Amino acid sequence: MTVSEFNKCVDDYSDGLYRFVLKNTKDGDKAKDIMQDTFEKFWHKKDEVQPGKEKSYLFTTAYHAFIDDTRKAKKKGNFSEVVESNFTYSNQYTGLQEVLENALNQLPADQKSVILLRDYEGYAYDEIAEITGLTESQVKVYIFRGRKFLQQFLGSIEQVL
Amino acid sequence: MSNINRNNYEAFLLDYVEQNLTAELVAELMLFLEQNPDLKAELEAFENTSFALEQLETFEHKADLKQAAVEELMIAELEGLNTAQETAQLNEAIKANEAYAVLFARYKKTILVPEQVVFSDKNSLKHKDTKVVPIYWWVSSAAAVLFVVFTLNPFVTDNNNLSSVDTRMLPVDNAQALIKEETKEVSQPSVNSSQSSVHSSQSSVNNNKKPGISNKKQVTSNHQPLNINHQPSSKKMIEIEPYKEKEYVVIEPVELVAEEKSSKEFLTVSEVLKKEAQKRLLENEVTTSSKELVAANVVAKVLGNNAEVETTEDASGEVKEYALNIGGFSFSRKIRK
Repeated sequence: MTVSEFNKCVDDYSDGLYRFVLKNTKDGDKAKDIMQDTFEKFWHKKDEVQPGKEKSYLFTTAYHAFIDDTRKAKKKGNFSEVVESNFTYSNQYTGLQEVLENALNQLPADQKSVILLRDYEGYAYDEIAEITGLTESQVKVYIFRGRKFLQQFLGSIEQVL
Repeated sequence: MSNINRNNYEAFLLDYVEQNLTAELVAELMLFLEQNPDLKAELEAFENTSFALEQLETFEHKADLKQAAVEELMIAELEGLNTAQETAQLNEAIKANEAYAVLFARYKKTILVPEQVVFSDKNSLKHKDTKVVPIYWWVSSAAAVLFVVFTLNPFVTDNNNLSSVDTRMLPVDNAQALIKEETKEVSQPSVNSSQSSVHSSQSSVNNNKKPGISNKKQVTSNHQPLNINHQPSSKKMIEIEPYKEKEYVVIEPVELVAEEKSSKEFLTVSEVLKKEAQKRLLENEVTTSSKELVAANVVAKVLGNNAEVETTEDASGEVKEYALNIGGFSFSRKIRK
């Protein structure tokens, strides 16, 4: 892979990847760090990545980076870093996207990731399985459970409103 | 003869509970249990199991189970996984039950709409289009050797002669230099001795057109050319006062004139140094180059297969240019006649 091809990958995929990481981490600085690390690894492995698999490699690397980061944060258990909004309930929503955002943040990390990859990036089940390291049937199960939770969350909000 | 014993009675018990035994075997099993009263409790346990199955048939949450099945169909429909038959079943269920229609509408809302997020730091991720050449240890070693050979060679060839320093870019900042030399007249061998004797400070005072002005001040302020004394005195002192500003003497290569007679009566220090350096450079050119060629060959031999010396010869067969190729690097130099 040439430098110009690498830079084209930056142009083509960095926005989507940043959105994916940002939605998962909910922290702009952390998301930027993961972006830097991901593209740094991609640069070092650029000759090993198969042509056409660049996007998949980037999402896989970023996914594992924030999953590792999430696990480390859980081990540390630093209460000051806990995002309070994740554990509070608010019925002052201004739109459906905001409600869904809140619901999404309450999903387990695996379910959240597969739904984001499915809806935002339009990946097929086998591609999501490749990125996340899950089996295809696990991906399906996570998507079904995630959608069910989102639907129930929307239903509970509708009842409140 | 009875087929039932303590090793196989469980199978007969299970068949009895599921009513799979013939009347004859039932009679035989009852006889066996009469003979082994301790096993009667197991028969009761089997009968309780069949009671639990009957309870399941009266499960109260049948509707929930049915709805769960419909929800699976709804999600599969959104995911594009349903067959035509399953889609038809779903549509029928929605028509039959309005609650399903509401539920399906809610499921449709769970599909996330991609937001436009722009990563602003793209330039920090990009790499510049420069070729990265790995530098191995032998290349860096060779470069160091070449640096020494090419740049410091004039110092090595003649340590004792101050004027042999490469003066093509010689800073003449003598702010702290105060050269005092006793008894010796400054007569360099390369400069015409009859013209290059630098006049001493004392004689300068003597010949000064402006008596009363101190010698030091005179030299410092005016860059006054040194007086060339044709008759060396026995005890003379050269005192070179610092220049005020840093000055670089740039000496361009010129043709060597064997005996250049200067019409100037006085030469400044920079002129003397310039002249001397030009002369030294031109004199040493050929020998220096041949030494470098030898040194380059030595370097190439030390480095082995990774290095070689290429020479370019002119029509007369003399080497006019040589190049030392080390890995991806090439150092070339012309040999001037």
